[in-house]
Amino acid sequence: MEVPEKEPQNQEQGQKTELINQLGQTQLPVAKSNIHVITIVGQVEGHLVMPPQNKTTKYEHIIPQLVAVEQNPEIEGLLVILNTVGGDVEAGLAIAEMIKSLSKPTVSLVLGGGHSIGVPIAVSADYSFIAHSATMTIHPIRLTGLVIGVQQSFDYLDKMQDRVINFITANSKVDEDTFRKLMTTTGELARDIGTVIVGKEAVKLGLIDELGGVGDAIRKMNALIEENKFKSIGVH
Amino acid sequence: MPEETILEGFDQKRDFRYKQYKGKNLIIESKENGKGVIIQLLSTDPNDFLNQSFLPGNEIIWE
Repeated sequence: MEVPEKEPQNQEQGQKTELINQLGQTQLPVAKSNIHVITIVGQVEGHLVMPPQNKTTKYEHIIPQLVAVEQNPEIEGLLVILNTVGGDVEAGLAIAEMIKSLSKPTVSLVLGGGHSIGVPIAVSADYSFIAHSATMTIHPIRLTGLVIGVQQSFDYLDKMQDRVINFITANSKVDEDTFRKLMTTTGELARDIGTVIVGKEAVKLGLIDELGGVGDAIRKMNALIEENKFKSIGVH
Repeated sequence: MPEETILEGFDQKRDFRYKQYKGKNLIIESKENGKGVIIQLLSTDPNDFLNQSFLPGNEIIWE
């Protein structure tokens, strides 16, 4: 097996010249961003590894990134972009708790879909946005695989459901009764109980703060960063 | 659309690996001769995604 060996710097320089010569492309100047982005796409992957055909967001990738964002003084804010179908409840809640406890301003944006366990992740940010066409599915949690059919299993499932509901109601303006009703509605989903809510409805219910896109999210983020700066130097 | 077209390559195992390349974490699909195709860049810095060398689909030498 022969691998051409080149000095890393020469190779990089060579690539740059090649890009200009062949494609007319130039490298963009390197700029530092004070806002970092985390995308939650596909399935939220937890304790089980999904087959490679599945697009997943792994919590073991996200959690160290969140620690790095919290720890790096050059990062002033975090934007969380969601387009997820949901996934592992505990992994989703772990990510949501991490985002909630960041000391830096966080803004979330739901694009396309923020279903199931995507809902707590969306509400965990300081301020949340949803695109006009984006949807969120709210449904009761469920277990797949081999389940021991005893009363304790149901109690455990019930407790897990309460954890999700408590997190959502504590971090958004939706009240528990409304949320439970949405969760147990019949006739909205083809083979399940629950509700699909679209952009505007999510704002009306108080689940999400505002309708908007990436421009609005960045604008809000900059406003929150300014506010945070004033707070840290003691101006009220 | 015929089923064969939809399911083409579905039974083939794809070899995804996590690699450090120029100081960044990447998911690459391993190919022959130590080459790999970038599948995903794992970074929170939006500027990393403007860097041509991390574009998904690019072929890199990782071995």
